Amino acid sequence: MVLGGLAMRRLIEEVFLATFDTPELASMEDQARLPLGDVIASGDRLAFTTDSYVIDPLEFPGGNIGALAVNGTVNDLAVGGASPLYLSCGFIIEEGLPLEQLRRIVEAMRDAAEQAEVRIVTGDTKVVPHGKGDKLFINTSGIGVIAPGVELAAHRCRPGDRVIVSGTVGDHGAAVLQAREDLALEGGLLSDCRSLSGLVRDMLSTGADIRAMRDATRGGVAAVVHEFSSASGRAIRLFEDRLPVRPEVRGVCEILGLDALHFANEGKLVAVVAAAQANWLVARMRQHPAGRDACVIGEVLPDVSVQVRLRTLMGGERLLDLPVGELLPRIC
Amino acid sequence: MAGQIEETGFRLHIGGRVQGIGFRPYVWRLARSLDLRGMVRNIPTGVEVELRCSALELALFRKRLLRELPPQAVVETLTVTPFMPADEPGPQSMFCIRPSGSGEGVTVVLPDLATCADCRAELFNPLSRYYRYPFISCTHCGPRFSIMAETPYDRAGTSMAAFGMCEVCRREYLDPEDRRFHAQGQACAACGPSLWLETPDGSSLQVNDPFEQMGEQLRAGRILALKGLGGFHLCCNALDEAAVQRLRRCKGRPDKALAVMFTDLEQLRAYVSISPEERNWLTSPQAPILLLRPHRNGRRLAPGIAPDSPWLGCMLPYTPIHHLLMSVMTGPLVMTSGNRSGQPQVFDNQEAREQLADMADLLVMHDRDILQPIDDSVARVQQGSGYREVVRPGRGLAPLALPLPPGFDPAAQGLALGGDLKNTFCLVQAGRAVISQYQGDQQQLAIQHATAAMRQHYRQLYRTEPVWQACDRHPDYRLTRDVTEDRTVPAALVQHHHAHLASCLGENGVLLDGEAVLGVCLDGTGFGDPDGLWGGEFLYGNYADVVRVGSLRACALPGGDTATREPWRLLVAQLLQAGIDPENVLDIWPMLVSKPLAVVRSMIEHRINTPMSSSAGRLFDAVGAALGCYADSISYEGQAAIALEALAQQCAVPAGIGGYAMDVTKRDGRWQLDPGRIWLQLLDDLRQRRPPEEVAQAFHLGLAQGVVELVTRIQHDYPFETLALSGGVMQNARLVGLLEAHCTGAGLKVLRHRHLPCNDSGLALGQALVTMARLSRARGRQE
Ligand SMILES: [Fe+3]
Ligand SMILES: [Mg+2]
Ligand SMILES: [Zn+2]
Ligand SMILES: [Zn+2]
Repeated sequence: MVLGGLAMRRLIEEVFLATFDTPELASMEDQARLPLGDVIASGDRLAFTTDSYVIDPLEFPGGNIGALAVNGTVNDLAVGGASPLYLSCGFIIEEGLPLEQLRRIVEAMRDAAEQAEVRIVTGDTKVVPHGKGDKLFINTSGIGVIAPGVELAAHRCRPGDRVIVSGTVGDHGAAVLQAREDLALEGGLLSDCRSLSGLVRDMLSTGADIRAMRDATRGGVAAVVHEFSSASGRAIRLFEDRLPVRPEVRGVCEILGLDALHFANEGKLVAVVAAAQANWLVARMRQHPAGRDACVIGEVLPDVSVQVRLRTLMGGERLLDLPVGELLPRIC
Repeated sequence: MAGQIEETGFRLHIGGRVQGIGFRPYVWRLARSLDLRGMVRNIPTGVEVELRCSALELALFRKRLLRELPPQAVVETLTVTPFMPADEPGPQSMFCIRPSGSGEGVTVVLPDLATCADCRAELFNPLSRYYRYPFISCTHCGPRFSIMAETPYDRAGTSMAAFGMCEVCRREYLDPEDRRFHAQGQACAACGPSLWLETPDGSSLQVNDPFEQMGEQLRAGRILALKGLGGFHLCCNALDEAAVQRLRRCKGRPDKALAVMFTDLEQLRAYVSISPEERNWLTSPQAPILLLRPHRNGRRLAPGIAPDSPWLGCMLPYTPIHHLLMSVMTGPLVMTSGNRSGQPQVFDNQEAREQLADMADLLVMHDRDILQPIDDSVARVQQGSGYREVVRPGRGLAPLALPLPPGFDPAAQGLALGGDLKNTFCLVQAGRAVISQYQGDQQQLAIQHATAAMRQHYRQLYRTEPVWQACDRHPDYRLTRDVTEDRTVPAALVQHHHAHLASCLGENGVLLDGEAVLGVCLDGTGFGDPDGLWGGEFLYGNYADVVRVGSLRACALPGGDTATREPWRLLVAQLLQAGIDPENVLDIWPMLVSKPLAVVRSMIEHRINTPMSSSAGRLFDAVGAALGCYADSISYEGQAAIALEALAQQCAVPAGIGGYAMDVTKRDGRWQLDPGRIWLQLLDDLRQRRPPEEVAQAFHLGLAQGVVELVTRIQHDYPFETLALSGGVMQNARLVGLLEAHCTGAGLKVLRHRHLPCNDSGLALGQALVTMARLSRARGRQE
């Protein structure tokens, strides 16, 4: 049974308003009203993004769908060089979702927002009958401000530039697989779900010529590097022996026959930077908790070609393709 | 009446392999010996002969022409057109050789040929001016394809263009009586290429006799990088285990058998058995690496040469450099292609300095450039039947120009790209399908680039502008991606096993719109339809279309390609499918104790990176794993299956063994062969400690029986008289022998591959034929 008006209002007040506790929400108007002065003072462009979050299981070691929904959108703003300011959130809740679980998720959102220094200023909630949704979907939109002079764009990659990853690859994807009880994978992996806005702020403050930045979520590092290659028209080479991969993640990959480069991350970014500044930038990144394992993993090649090459541990080089659909064996 | 005219003229047009092998001097000598007047010359499509003689003389000439052909000549067509000499002024006196007719380039490209007996004799004859000259050759032997930049095959278009001939060489070159008349590789120590030694640091090594030095190094356990005919080899003493192991480490090739070069047949016989047919092939100008069986009680090579293979890849010296090298050696040498595992063979001096210097202690260089790399061919002769089988097409056998089967459009021009692994490609032009040498794994970028360059070279050589391209239907095949992204030429997708079947039909000259046949494709995996991977298929039809009328029952591949690399996964999947819980049989397979069985089980249940496949190859891998053959992991494709076949060969009492029964069912109108019951019988046998050799044999027999049973059932619904056997599993001599015997016994005509491998190296030809068949049908509909 779908909630009546009163029950819905109670849910909103008890769960959302009480947890988020921001003046914009508390005013209960139909829209958040945001002062322009702050925005104008800190930059010359608005950044605006939206994303919807769907994940099974809703809670996993190292995070839950709520933390993901905040950090995901915050990171989408941050990697554009924006300081994240405000978030909206929309919930589609399947009837029967335990209230306690919803509360945990909403609390995780509050904590994540606090950590990323953004405010959740407007929201919406719908409850759908049992069977019409998969427990819980969350949509968040975010607004941030880009400071003058910050120009991050994938097409700016130049031959010789270095490719940097901010930390170990594939943790989130592997942790979620491990959290699926039916898979019987053992281990204590945690998702890397976290905000990158602090790290990005530090990176920008170095003044290094960072050409482009993306967070390596769905499709993993492989997908991001493909985007860089495609936007700049240059081939990019990655070095398998330089990829930071946790041994536990490697183990999951080996058992399942999958590649950590395709695994989703929820707190890792990939950046391209002028070669001369790469090592120095990495050293600075390592001083930030979100960048402790940062390292150079590749380089932009002079070849005018949309492709990502992987120098393998064996010494050969192969193209790192994005699978068309399900991974299909090639060995005949 | 023609008979009344005293002087008659005949123009003979001879097509086939008639250029670059001394054909014109041969015609010249023949005509002169018969005292005929006229001329001979090369024309774009072959050789043209004009004779002024009587019909009787013509008949005699023709008879002897075909009977006494030079060793390398193949006459495919010979047409005679009479003409009136009075109308056409021509040579009135002697028979002569005329310069080549102009026009489009000659499209017959000759493979590289092993040193002939005459040259060999001169090489070791102190009185010959070619004594110990490492680049001796003649019209019957020596490099061809590997030094050609363009057609026609003239010196100017080869890497020999860099060497001007000395007076003596030129005289021989111009003398029709000489074996070196128009031999484009003509050279001697005074004017031709030379050989030298380099140390890995790049400095050249001054020695009196480089071959003595090479022998000394090899005896001391060193590794040589040796520039050969089609590329560099790495070689070491085949009796020195330490040297062999070092070579393996350098190359990154842990287990796969290495080829061995023996001094001569006599030495070879001390190690392996060899049949007359094998001897003939080994000593032919093609001189392939032949897979032979070591003697049970023969002399032993270093154990690391072929640790798990029942076969030993054997070859004889096929260049003067090899002959000179082997003459200073007392034992055989390991001779493996000069590259790191997964990289293309090195063929250029500078590349050798860069890539081979850290693998070799000494580099043997020369300055006759290899323009087109081509690796050694690997081949095998089937015991009993004497059937010749190509495992890897290369030097001597490629380029292979097969005439298109009857019915195909002789004007077709196209390119089939082949499969991603064991790649070859196929260029269709002038009524032929020209199949390239082995190119290798297209996933390796360096190999992919080398292959693209080679395709370009073939197009130039054969002056062909393809109007279509064909490739495999697998969406993740590198070549398929590239070809479908490149929109300049229309691309046709051909199903993997249909291509295997068409390739077998084409090699056997089956005509375009003939009766439908049944193709039995026992293979690894290939993209079937969006629902799955195929690999044990019974396809009914012809070039243009097939219906999948039967298959092996599909089984899970937990981990995709990883399952192929780790056969224990396949064993687990097969056991589960047969209703056997692996946890309950850990006593039989203790190696499963340490494996993540629960994860693999749930991967299969939830289909996480676990495609289903009706693969026959993977069934062999699983049974191999069950019998202790590379259950943990394999280091090269087919390793477990090869070891399984070897086990079956060791079976002492094959006659008394019954095959494992398999279930045959019909589902959705398709016959299905279910290996499930094999596992119950196999488990039982292992419980009763039946020797693995017998189990391996029972599996081979059972599968053969099952396949034959299915063939018989299919025959009730679909009429056919011809059965074509293809797919990589058909390399299993034991299985294919059983299938052929059974099916021939049942009155079926059985077709097998003859010139190309049954594995994915044969795909390109099949893709080309399927595409042409479809194009011709579409044209038929339009008309
Ligand atoms: Fe195949
Ligand atoms: Mg996003
Ligand atoms: Zn010769
Ligand atoms: Zn000379």
